[in-house]
Amino acid sequence: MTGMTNIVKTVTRIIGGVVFLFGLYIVTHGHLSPGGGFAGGTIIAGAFILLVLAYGDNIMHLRRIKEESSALENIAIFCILIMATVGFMLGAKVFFNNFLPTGVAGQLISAGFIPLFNILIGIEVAAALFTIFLAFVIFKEEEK
Amino acid sequence: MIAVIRISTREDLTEGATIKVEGVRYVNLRSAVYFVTGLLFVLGFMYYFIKSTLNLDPFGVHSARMAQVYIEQGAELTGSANLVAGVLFDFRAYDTLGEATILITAVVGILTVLRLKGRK
Amino acid sequence: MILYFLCFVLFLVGLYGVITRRNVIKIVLGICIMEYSINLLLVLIGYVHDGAAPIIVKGSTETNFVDPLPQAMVLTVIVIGLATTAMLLAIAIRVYRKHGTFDIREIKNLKG
Repeated sequence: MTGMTNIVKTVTRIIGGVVFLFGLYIVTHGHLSPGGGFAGGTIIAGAFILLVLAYGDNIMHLRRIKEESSALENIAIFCILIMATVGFMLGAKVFFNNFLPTGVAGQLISAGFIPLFNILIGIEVAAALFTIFLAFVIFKEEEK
Repeated sequence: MIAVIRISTREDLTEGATIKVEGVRYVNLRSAVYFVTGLLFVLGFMYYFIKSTLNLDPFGVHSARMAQVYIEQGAELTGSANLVAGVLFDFRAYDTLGEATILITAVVGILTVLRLKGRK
Repeated sequence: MILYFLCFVLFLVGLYGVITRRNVIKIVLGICIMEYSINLLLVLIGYVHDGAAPIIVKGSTETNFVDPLPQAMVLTVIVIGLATTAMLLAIAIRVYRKHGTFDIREIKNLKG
């Protein structure tokens, strides 16, 4: 897959970092301002897709990245299930029990396990969208 | 009605509304039947929808019966300032788990459909 | 009530695109428009006059909030629509490789 001109490559290197940082802000402040895991995960996936579109690698490199991204998504889902089961063991016998202490509403460290949940969901959504995009690109490149 | 509209896109989509037979202009019967059927379909749909929308509350006057507890005590029970995130991740966490499952299933399905030819 | 009627008109536009178009990609776009109109209807039902966004800001005493429950449900429905659209596009690309065209009139033979 051929990359783009030099101007696009230089600007994308700068912009990709800014977009990734913005997505990380939306994910981690999910309990204070509108946003949350799903919207932030989509923005992080957008930063990675921008880099692949501007540089364009050969197919062997992209295949290895696709395997890693798919494995990262499955690990994130497994960690969510582990967190739900830990809530099942302590306290009341309810799945997804909120077992971390809830502080004062409005501070960064508050609201039980909602920040952890947000971060895991953000990783999972970003990895899922990136894997779907890479599957399309590799299928297109194979038939050449 | 849907079958009639579906057949209309198969062969003669570019025929006009009137055709000429022996120098006299007639109305094309096929196009007229398709047009009337489409109109009846849309009107029937609209009648049932308007009849069921008049039972809802008017726009803007909403009595949040189910969400009263969420609005009043949501900040104390969960400790989060964002009420939507508190509802989605604490009161209704099962739905979020189901949604993550949907994403995993979609990725596995796409990786199966777009599979390249394996080596021998 | 005019707003609910306009959401329904958007649904009909998507339905028209699904029924009368020959290209496969345009049919997929019609399905996307239909899903969008339903999400819009669900969020519009929970609106209260002079209501604020359901986020508690420090130092403001406001108790007239918009209903947060339909918004949480619609977040789930949007992700379901994304998964459906991705599967449809993958199947469309497979069909194009086999038959060489996107026209649904020529995809008739069930080849082995």
